Amino acid sequence: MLKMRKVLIPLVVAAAGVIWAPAVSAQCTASQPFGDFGRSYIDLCRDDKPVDALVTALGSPATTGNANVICESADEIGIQGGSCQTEAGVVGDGRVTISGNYGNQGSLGCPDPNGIAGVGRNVYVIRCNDGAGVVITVGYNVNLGVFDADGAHKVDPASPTFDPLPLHAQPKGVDPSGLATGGQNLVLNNLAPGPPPMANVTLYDPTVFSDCDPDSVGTARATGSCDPAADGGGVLASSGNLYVTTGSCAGTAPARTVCNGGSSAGLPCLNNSDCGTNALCIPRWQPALTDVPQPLIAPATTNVTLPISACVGGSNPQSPCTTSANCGGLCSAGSRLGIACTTTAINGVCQGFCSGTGPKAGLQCTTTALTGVCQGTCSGGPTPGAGCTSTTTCGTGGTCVAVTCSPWPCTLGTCSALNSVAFNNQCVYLGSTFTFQSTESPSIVSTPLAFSGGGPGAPSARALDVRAAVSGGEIMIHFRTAAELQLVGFNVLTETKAKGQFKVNDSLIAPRGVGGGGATYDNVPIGRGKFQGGRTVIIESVLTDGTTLRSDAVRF
Amino acid sequence: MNRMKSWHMPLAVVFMAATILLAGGFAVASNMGFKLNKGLVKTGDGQIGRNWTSIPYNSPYGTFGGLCTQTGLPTGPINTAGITRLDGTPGGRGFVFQTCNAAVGAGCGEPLVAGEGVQIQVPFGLCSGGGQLCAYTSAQCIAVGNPTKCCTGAGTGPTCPASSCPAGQTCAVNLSSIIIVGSHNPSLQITTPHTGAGQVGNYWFAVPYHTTAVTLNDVCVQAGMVSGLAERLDPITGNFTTPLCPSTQAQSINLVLGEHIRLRHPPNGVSFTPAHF
Repeated sequence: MLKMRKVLIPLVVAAAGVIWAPAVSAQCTASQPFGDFGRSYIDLCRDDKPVDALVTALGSPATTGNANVICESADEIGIQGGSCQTEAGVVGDGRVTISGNYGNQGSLGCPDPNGIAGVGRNVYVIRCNDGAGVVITVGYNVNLGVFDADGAHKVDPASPTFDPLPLHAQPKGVDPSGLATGGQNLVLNNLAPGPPPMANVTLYDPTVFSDCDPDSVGTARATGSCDPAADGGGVLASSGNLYVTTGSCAGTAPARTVCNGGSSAGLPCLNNSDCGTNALCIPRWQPALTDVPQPLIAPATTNVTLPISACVGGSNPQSPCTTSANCGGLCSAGSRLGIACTTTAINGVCQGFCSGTGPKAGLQCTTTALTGVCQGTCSGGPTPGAGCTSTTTCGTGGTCVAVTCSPWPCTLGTCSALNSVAFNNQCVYLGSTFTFQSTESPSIVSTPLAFSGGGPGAPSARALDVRAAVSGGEIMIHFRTAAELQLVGFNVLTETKAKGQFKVNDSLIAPRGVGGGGATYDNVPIGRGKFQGGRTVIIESVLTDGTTLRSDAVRF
Repeated sequence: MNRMKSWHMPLAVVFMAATILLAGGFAVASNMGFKLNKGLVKTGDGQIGRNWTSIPYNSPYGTFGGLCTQTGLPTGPINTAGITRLDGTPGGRGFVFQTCNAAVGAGCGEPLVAGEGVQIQVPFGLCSGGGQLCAYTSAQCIAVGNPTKCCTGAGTGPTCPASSCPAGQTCAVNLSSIIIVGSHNPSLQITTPHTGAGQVGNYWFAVPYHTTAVTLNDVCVQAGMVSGLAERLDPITGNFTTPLCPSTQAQSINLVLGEHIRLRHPPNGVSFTPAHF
């Protein structure tokens, strides 16, 4: 789901500088690969659909944004790192690898521009199809010239060369020490529809696999990627800060800030220079409103008030809002088309165009004046209609009439309810950041919680009140929905240690709600043998855009 | 040194012959010399248009300036190509960049090093007024319909500019290929540097034009590398591909005639004599 750019002047030096110099905070100017370079992989990671990953660099704003950096198979194409490792196997085998490059398209920022140890420590948060995952952090391996994720793997005790063991993405839960396992350090306890909608969540510190761990490949091989000065004693932990945003349930940007206009509109950014001229880098995720002061001290439970409205159009589309003023606008025509604005005026951002049919017609302008771009046209005299800059140039009897500079429109966005027709399957996302050596990550790296189905304030197709009971040779399942907008049907899932989560119904259970309304499902029978020893039931709602919503798991 | 599997030889010969023919018949293998029509991608965002280029081990160029003038790369004060070599030796210079204008102005400019490739970057073109570079032509502008670069059509704004040039000027697009000539030096030994921070340890290996290697992995094996990296840069997409060297992943990445690749072999580098036919 979370798969997730010049002014030329006639001077040699200046021209060369413009052409060859990279934009500030752009991708690395040279190759800086990251991923699995030790012939190992992550396993027990359901990967029949694309596996998500969030990438950030501590102490550095670098990220790969929405780029695809996870290989579900060895032959996958379009991967940000160029190609996939053989160890990724095939789709559906539970094996995935990381393949990225901060020098490639899709990267924003360069974590370690000088390629030295102790700079730009990477964090990868992987989320598999079943919600389980893993959190990995590694420093720059100077010898190999990469960020080698395999350096965080445990050493194979049978290997004389300290080869890495596969890293398990399971189990998902909380270990006896209170650390979240399986990559999910932000857990939803309850969701009250409100108004206002309220999520009760618990934030844990995550179990993190690091090349600084004593039993890691990085330490055993003394790769130097765990820099004693920069990394020594450092612990990757939850920051305690929660953030919310809204966006399509089919995906959202992990970066906390995005460009509000221009050719980079909506793309992750680190600062205004990433967004080009006349565009700003603005928050895409906003600090969450919690009843426990932030930063939370993990483990900590708190209520979070969720947004119920977001911007439609404007320069801040899909971001949470309370008034339309939060949404800004975009120039809807002219050479500044798509640039963020707040007003329609020739002295505003959108500027204007020279009207009429004169020689300057259509040119971008900022003033109606003979001395401006539009200049004027002669009225009367020997050359009527000719361009002019003063009455004198129009000859005897003529006057120079200024051509009007008409404003290009600035179309403002509106703040609309998430459950309105303005949105289609809109989700609210709740996420958090990590800290390392007191530095907060610039990206959301806790796998976000999604509240979907038209928004948390709106009814959802997510199955509620799920119950299951044994009845003879069958498992009788009960659940209900509050609404069934964009619902295709339901699957029933169970989970075993051997197979992980799997579907037990033969075909989709058809929706019963009328007109998008909710419905109750009583005594839905599934043969006991289908569960293959599984003792849990999860109802998966399949939506029209292919996304799914899963209920809480219940046992029978 | 040459550890190529015997069955690779005829396959490699067939592959190279096919590639040469596909290159338009400009590349002619011979015992004495060859020439290749090498396509160039214009400079774009990120790494797009960074043309990694193999320079023949024996070539008439000698220097950046020689390469620029003899291949017809733009050398003007504004419209100039850029050449980069990588000195990855410990204590070395790292990336050594010079514009063709500067190289020619300096007489010859930086020397080329036998066995090393260089990176060639060419601006899109020069406005007919000669005062500034252009990034696209009017035709491209219309085809792409890119609102950030030009108007989208009648009724929506000002008349579409003729190009990214000032009104009335056109964009003279730079060349899209150069002819590279030279011959091979079969006795030249390649030595990649000891690895270290930054670019130290990286080597831009000029793959011989008559190499028997087909894939990145073939080079890894021929070079006797154990646990290093090999890397190709696609100038069209601007993306690097960096497999372990050797590895099965590297087997799936083909070499491209006329392109150099990056090799890195920690910690002490590797020495080898490139195989060729």
